[in-house]
Amino acid sequence: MVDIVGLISSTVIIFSLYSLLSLSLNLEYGYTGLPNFGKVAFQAVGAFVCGAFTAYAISFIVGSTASIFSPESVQIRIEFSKMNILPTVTIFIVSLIAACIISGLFGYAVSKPALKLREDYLALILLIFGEILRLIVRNYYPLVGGTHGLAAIPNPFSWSGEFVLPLYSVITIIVTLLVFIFLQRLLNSPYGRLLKAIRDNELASQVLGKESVRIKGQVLTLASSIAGLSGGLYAFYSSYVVADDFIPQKTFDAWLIVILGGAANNKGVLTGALVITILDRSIQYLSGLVRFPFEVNYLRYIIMGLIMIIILYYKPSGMIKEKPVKTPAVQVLKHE
Amino acid sequence: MSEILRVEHLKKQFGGIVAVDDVSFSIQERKIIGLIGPNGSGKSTLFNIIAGIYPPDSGEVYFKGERITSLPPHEIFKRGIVKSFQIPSLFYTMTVFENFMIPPREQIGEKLINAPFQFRWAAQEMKFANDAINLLKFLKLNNLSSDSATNLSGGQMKLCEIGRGVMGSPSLMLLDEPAAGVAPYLAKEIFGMILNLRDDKGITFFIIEHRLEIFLEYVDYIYVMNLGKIVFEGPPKEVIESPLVKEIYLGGGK
Repeated sequence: MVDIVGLISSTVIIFSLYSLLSLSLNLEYGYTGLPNFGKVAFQAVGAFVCGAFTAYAISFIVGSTASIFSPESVQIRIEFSKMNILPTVTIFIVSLIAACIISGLFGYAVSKPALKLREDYLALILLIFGEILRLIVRNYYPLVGGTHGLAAIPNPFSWSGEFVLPLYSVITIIVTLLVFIFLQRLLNSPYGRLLKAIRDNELASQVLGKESVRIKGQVLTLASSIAGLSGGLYAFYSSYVVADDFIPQKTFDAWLIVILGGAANNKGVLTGALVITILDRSIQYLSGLVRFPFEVNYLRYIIMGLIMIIILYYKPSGMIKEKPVKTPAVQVLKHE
Repeated sequence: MSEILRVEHLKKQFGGIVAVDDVSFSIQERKIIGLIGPNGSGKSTLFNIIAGIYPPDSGEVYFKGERITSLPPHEIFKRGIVKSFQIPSLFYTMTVFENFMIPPREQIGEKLINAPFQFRWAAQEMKFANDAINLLKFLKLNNLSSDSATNLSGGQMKLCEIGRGVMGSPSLMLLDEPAAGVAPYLAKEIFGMILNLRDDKGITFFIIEHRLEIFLEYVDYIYVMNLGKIVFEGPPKEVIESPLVKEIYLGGGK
């Protein structure tokens, strides 16, 4: 018997996480033309912050002096989250906010030197930044346990027993929708138009009075916050964070979703995220049903690569095309 | 009549090539000033220095009495100078109308904190939209408003770029070959519109142009550049009759 509720819930959660990361990349790449090849690093920061903050906070409340990585602490966290609903939920909310802020600060810090570079160099610098961060965290034990990772990050709904996943999926999809609505409102405005102008021709935008470097810094900061949010939500979903979860592959998953769905179109990005989530889940489901003479997970890479090539060749604007920015001015134009 | 732009001993070198060599001149308000000279004489470099795209090696630029040498382009724009490019540099994924909506100054909705709240910027946006539509009508581009900027013809692109600049309410426009590659009748139309913009909005124009035969009847005063230096200046009639200018353009026997 297949656990339908569990399957749907985890699909919704994975869709939400993909969506958040891709929306954040779409803000940078789709709207502003910033080729962020290090997207995963900012997601990782969010996950690390949530993991470490939660573990230290619970140890502090309980008054335990044991290392947060010890089996004893793991037990404490599991017990704590089942018994103390309000503190667990509070820690969840506070750590997500902290994840947004700290990831955003990382984005801002990286933007200072990186935005002086031309696009292709910027892409490489961000890719390298992500890898360096991963390798440091992997080899620095006190933050999230180095190569062993940090286990038992308590889900805010641990107390609900079998309803953990369904309840959590509701939270993630609500957060995703809120971010989507926020971005739609942010980008269907003179600000969205400004970002597209910088993307289309940065020099012309400067000559027309736009401080493009400052604006790109804002975008990198805001998008990194959103990526951090997705990382935090991921940490509470998997209840385990380890540096090696955040390999560049995740960045390119987001790139595939943006290109497949349609750059500079948030609805397209959600559609792309849905397609990739379903593909992902189907392959996983298939691997449980049929025995293949090879590792099924590699099928995923082959199919995703194929999708990327086919889309770029036949439909480079993606499934849903970019549309002009919608402001009240469009109404004025229609009456003419 | 007052002076709007003054350039003093401007010099710019690229490697071993002196692109602009000790150039000094000044421009009066509400005039249409021409800048001519053969390819590679330093005209575009001079424009780029004034607009803040390159810093000069030495020399100063004053705009309305204020020193603006080496300020970044957006600061130069704020003071009232807009430059157009030799190759039309529109925002090509956007519509003509959207292109016109980029330059207006002090857009409330361009600030990150205001953008998500439409009620804060909607009224201002409508005002700019009306300005844009009026200007599009004036430039006879209004039936192309909703078209992508890539769908315009070469001449329309030039016109669109001028119009886009005007949306930034400049007091001085630097136009780099506004009629290059445009059919003669359309080139005349473009210059006619420049004349009207000068009269309507009081904009001073400083224009690089090669096609003297079209240009002459619209321009008040001409500077001639050759090998980085201003070699001749005067009203159009004098310029066209000058043997020196003929020699520069047609190549005199040495």
